[in-house]
Amino acid sequence: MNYHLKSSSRGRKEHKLVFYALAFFAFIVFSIHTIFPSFLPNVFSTLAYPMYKGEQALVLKADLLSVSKEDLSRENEALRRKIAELESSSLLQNVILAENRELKAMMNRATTTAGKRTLARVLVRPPVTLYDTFIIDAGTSADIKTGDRIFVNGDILLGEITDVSPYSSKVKLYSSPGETLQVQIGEKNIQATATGRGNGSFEISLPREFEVKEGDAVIIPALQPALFGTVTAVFGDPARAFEFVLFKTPVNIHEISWVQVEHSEI
Amino acid sequence: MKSKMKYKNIFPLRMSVTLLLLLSILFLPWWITASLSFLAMLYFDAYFEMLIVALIFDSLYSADVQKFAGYQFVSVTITLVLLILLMYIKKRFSFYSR
Repeated sequence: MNYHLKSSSRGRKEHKLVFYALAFFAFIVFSIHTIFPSFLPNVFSTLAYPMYKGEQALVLKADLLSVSKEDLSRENEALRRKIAELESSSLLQNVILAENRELKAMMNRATTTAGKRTLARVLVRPPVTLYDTFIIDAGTSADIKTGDRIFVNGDILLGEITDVSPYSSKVKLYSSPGETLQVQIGEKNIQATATGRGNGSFEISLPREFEVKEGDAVIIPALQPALFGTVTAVFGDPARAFEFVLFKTPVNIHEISWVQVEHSEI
Repeated sequence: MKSKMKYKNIFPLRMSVTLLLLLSILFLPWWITASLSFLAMLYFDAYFEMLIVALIFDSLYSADVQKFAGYQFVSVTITLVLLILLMYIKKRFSFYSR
């Protein structure tokens, strides 16, 4: 028995229409992004900002409700003790830093301490974001600009500002997949190119004779170096000339709540 | 006519799911948003609202990452490709014929 084939001319017309509509959508989006690169991020981040703030207020309220006063006071006491311990252990570091500054001044290489910094709260971080980016609650109203560098815990460099809207900014972490950066490793200051792997981790390929070991510090070379990470693993095959070094930022990027934005001198 | 009626019935559900997805890009891990989005695209016919959700996701979070050669509309592109693929695939499955 023979069946008539379904007439597909109407379906084809519909498909064509859908295809044109999608192509038009893509064209509009890419045109807007090419002509005004920060228009879409600005619009959507301005709309999303009150939602992020609302969520943070809710979380804070829920936290306060779930903890008793006694627990809070115990935690407060423990933190005070911890601060006292850390302060005493950082005395030596302060002495060395002061000496370092004096020596640089004697050699006419005095550096002002870090540029002007603004404290900002992290509104969104991975894993909500896919691309190793943060959204922070400081924008043009706090004099933040594209290219400003982001630090955490004082001297740990994390990334830089890529988009700014009035009350929030987008931070691209240097650990974003594929990002490359010049670093120095260990006491011998071995120069290398670190490549981001996402989630705050990096990889470096180095000749075997450099003898990098776990726990070595990774810094950004500068007159006033910034800590960038610590080596977590070294993989090497004796048959190969190169070894593979993995390192991570010293802080877990999933737990960062506050960052400092260093204003660039432009 | 029949399909128009069906669309009218399902319209509130589509809007609710879209709203849910918009909230999920703001507060939930990206992989939950991605899974929910894929399920929504499977369930609804020609779920073009997803393009807006993907556009907001990319606008909010994407950066010129080297891995994607600086291309910032990764989610929009993946959504676009998935929508077109699903439209063709669904037509060929009796499971989806309505």
